[in-house]
Amino acid sequence: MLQANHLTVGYERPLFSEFSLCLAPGECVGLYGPSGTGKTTLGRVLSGLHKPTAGSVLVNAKPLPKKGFRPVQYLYQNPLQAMNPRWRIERILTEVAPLDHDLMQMIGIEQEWLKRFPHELSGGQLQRVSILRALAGRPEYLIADEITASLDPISQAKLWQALQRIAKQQQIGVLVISHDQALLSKVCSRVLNGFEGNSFDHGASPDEPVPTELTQACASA
Amino acid sequence: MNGRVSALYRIGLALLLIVAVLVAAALAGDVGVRADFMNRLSAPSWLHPFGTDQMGRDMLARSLHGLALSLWVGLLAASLSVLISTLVALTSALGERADRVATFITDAMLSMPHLMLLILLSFAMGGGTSAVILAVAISHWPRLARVLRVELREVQAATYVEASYALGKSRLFIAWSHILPHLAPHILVGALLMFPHAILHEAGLTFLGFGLEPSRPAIGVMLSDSMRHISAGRWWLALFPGLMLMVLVLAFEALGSASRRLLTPREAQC
Amino acid sequence: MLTLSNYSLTLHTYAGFLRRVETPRLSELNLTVHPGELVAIIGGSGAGKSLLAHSIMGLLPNNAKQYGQIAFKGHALSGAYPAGVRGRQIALMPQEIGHLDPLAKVGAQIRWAGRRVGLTDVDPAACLAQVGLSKAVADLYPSALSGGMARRVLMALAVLGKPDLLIADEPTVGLDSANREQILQLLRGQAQAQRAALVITHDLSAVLPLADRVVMLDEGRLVGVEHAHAFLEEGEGLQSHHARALWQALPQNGFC
Repeated sequence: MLQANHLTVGYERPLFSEFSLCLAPGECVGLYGPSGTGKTTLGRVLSGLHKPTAGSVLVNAKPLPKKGFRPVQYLYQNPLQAMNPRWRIERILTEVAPLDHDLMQMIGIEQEWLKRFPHELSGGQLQRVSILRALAGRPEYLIADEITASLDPISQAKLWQALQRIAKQQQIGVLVISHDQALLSKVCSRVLNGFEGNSFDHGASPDEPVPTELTQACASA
Repeated sequence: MNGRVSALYRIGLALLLIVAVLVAAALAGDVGVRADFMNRLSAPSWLHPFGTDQMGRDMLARSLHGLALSLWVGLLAASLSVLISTLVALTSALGERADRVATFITDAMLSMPHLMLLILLSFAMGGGTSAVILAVAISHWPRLARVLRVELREVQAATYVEASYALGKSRLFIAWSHILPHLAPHILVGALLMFPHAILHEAGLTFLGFGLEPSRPAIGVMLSDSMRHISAGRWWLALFPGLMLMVLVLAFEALGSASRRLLTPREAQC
Repeated sequence: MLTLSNYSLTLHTYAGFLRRVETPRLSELNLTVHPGELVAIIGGSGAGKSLLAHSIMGLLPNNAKQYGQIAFKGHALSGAYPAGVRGRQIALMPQEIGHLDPLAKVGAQIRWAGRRVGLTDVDPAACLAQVGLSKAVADLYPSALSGGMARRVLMALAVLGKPDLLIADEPTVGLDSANREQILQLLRGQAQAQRAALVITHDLSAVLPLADRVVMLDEGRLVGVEHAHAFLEEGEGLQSHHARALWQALPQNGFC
């Protein structure tokens, strides 16, 4: 269980405040919100890349480890920047663990890409590489931040089909951050709609749809 | 011929020239040092292509000896200087306060007049070869240190370094596999481009009388000696050593810029 | 108005260390944009759609090589020829806020842009009003603008000289639906009478309501040209196989 408790980022004018969330293994949850509301920062906080001003993130009731492989992996919107431009794909993929050929096939990475450099692959191909690299370390949760926002619809559909299959098989919980409601309703079992950053300023009001939904999720799990 | 092949040719040519100077100087033996008073101040001829000086020494051999000496002085001074630059840049990476100290020292060094600093340092250390090497090394590191600091900061903040931490990699692994390979080409190119500076400053210092001992066959010594004869029409005493020095410096410039062409990603695609 | 005939573009890259090869990035493109038309160019990342925009504007990297022809109103575009066409009659609305000068106020940048297209007294307030921004924006620095506002300022700068052809590179990325609507409406307004707009995007569903035609690019090849109104229901009206696949893959449709 991935739990976020009363997360706040920022001081006088917080980017968002008092945000709570529960994500169960194997569950796919969507986070919808307009741009500029701190969705990316929230994703980075959940995966331990950014320290919240207040609140905590727990995985199986334990705080995120500061060293070693992070159980919550963040997938970047622009995977090219998240790869060393001097490394070939093979070295990038094996940074954590040796290649898992079954997984490689499942996610649709071709053998011949391995000898290329990141800038020689297209956005969709790179995103697959980025996902396989994160999967190599056996993560428990993935934060997918607009990972298909710059892909064409065909690559987007293929990527999500592969990711959904793997998440189900390995019981990985996925938080899908997107501005595309149609996409979220297709790939997620539930969607958090109320994320509007500053509107959480004084704690969530009782009629906000998000917190009720969240408490339910936590209670049932 | 594409850009990379021509860069390789330029590197090969420059290296050939540098090696040729060293080999020729070794083969010349003591020719350039031995006095021959029968042939004082003779103009360039087949026997002495660069002419002879006031003691009848062959200027070609002397110039080669001078260049070889410059190469060694330049090599030592540039290596030392690059070492200082790298250490200062790495200090910047240790933390906010260390960075402020390192930046302050770098800026302070840059705010002093280059040549005056060189002369003072060399003079304070009593002149001679080791004084020149140290003076050049100490006065030349700040520019490269600045470049390296910026590169280091950039790579430290790179998304792929952040991703590597998240994938559970240790600081040592990241420093060795991500950061060093990014810095290494900058250090190499910086060293190659510092070389001609070091050589020129060595010659300049020696010319002014604050550098190598007058007894050594240094280009600076030759140029300064030639001053006394140039008004008497002995042009070869100044022209040939000066020209040789220029060619050597240009060879190193070519070596540096061609290496940069091959090693930096932005220029490497053309 | 704009005609591409057999236009191809290659980039030099290195295979191995020393062997230089020409990698085709745009292949044999044939396309005509008519006055009064809004044409959308659809493709994923790496399809070559930004390269196409830069080709038309003449903003190519050093290692690019062009074949075929791009013609504007019957004149072939090559190098800087004919002078004054690019930037005045053809304008580019770039993708990133980084294209604004961070050290100058919006009003000053509008006046500069006006001078570049030969207008001596430009009223920033009027330009901003055209794109639905208040005149107070003229006193702001780019860092104080939100993504949507910045996009509209870029738009105001691009249309200052009343270009005949406006090329917009990913005008809607990162904008919420309200801002997206506004930008697209402005682009639609551009494509009227004798003027045209070329919208480069990966977001098919956003441009469909406003585009006249949709051009599909895949790995530098033109894989289909369709009328925008043919994208409906199961996509029976679509001519090309690629267009049907694209339409089916949208999350709101089959997603497969």
